[in-house]
Amino acid sequence: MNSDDEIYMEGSASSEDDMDDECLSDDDGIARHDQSASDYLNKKDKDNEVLDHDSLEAEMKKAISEVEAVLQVKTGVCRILLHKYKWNKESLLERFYEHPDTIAFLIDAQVIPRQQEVIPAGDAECDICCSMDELSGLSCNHRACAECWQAYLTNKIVSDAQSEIECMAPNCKLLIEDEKVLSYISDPTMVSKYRKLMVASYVEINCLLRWCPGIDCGKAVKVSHWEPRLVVCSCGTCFCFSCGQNWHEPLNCRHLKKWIKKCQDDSETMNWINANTKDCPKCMIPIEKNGGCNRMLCTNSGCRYEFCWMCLEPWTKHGYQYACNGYDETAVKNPQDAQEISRANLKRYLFYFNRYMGHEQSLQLEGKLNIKVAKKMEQMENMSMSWIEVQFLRKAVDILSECRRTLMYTYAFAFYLKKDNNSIIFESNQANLEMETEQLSGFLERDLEDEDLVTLKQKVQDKYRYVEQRRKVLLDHCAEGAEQDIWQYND
Amino acid sequence: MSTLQAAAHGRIVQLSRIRKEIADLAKNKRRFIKDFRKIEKCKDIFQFKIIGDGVLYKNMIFTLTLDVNVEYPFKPPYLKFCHNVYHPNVDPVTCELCSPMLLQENWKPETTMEDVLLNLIVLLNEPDLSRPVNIDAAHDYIHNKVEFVKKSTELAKKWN
Repeated sequence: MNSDDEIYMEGSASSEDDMDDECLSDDDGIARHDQSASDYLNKKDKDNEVLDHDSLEAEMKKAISEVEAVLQVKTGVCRILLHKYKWNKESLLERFYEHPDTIAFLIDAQVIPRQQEVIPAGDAECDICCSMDELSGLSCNHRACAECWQAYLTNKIVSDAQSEIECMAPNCKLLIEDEKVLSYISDPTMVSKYRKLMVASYVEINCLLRWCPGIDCGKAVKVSHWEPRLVVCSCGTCFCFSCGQNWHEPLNCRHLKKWIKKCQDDSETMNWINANTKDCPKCMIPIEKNGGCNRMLCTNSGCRYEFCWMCLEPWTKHGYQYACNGYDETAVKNPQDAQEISRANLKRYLFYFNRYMGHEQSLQLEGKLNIKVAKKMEQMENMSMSWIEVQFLRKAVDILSECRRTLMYTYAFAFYLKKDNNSIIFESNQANLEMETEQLSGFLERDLEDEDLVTLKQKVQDKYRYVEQRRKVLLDHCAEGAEQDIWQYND
Repeated sequence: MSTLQAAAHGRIVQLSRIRKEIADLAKNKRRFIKDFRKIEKCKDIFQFKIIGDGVLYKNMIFTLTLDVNVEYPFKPPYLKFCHNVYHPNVDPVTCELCSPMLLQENWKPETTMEDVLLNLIVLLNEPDLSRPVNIDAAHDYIHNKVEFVKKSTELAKKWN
């Protein structure tokens, strides 16, 4: 599902237009309006800016013109220098001023030639195509005919996707300025491709910019300073600025990368788990999970057994109060050899993997809630409640999704966490959040149809406010632990 | 320039370059290159023999093919041994020479086939260990030079 979080944009009129279009084309027939997101999201979003291709090009040109005014060199040379210093203006100017020899500085940056060839008089043969022609080239005086320059540059732009192109001659490292490139390539398609490559290199080498990973989204997000943080694009995609993945609080980027790789490497294990079906612990009939709530009812008419999907304990004993998020490591008794140790490691991994996938699956299945909630909201509006009064349901679904995602990553976090007093507190917070999330999920799954409106609203609002509070407590504890370096990892 | 015109121009450029470079090779009379000839009627694939020099491959003969594609000189040629060579920069499966000079992103259009062959001689004598394609050979070259010399000369003698 798409996040309904508020999107904070400034200085980008065309992005605002795109935003409006996206709102109007919303498939569920209800136009989305900006709503207050969580406090932390509001605060962090103020540092972000969403830029489309034209805005990125404008930003790039602005940076170039600022440096150009100071260094008094050509525009194309400025772009090469800024690219070399990763578009960090302060770093470039600092290096420029502290370098004793300006000429040597520019030679090192490949913008003026280390040595120049002697140009022979009169017409000459092009070394590339062996025909007599008028030759031209760069300040290094390596020359070729215009057709060969065009073919060379076209090849670099189309085949190699390069925006920093060197002179044609072997052993010549001189970079070609943009003005020179554009003077040789006349095809508008090629010019457009080259400009796109320049913008792409601007984003990819700049540590304050990142492309949005959203499907078919061509925008980038700009931040004021680099750190792993949640950013939101105008297309609705939320991602971690540092690694480009889904926002994965409280797990850090390094562990997320390891976890993703481990899950991929153990995909055969995943097949063995077969997370989509489990046998009823009482009558052994296979049961498919069709909703996000982990309270299961065996549909066998002779059984009707209720149990928890995650730990298969009876629901009467389990209820919403029972915690099944802690892995009991003392149960693994005295592994005698490498095989037993390996088996114990697999068992431990499967414990966390199972719950990670369980919440991911719940997150996906609860996406279906949007349709139910939209119908319910329509129904409630027809029965005298105002539009604003029924928004609590959408809010509840959004919070439920956020909690599922957080719980998902808490299990990967716990996998890499060593057992100590801090991890016990973490697991306690995790248990609380999981318990309350299951209750909220139950309200939205089970009670949506048969509860009267006033009672339903009261119950749902109370629950989602409390759930959001529990999530904040958990994440604050994790962030505090990371800041004070109290987490011990076993990787 | 339209696509067809560009392709035609590219082909003309390729043929002109190849003709000139073969003439230059003949004129320069490099002693280490023998029997340079075209072996395919419809493609520009050349076969030739290299006579090794230096300590390791003194007077050894290697047979190679040079595939000059249609987009030459804007794309690099493809250089391949006709037999196995125990060398860090020669792929043990395909027998292809993997040289930094021949990588697409490093290739310069002014580089000639003769430059490529000279680079081949240099690589035979001094492997480029920064990017080995035969890991075993690279490992031997660094840690067990005697073993490397033994294996590489044995394999080279097999084809002489």
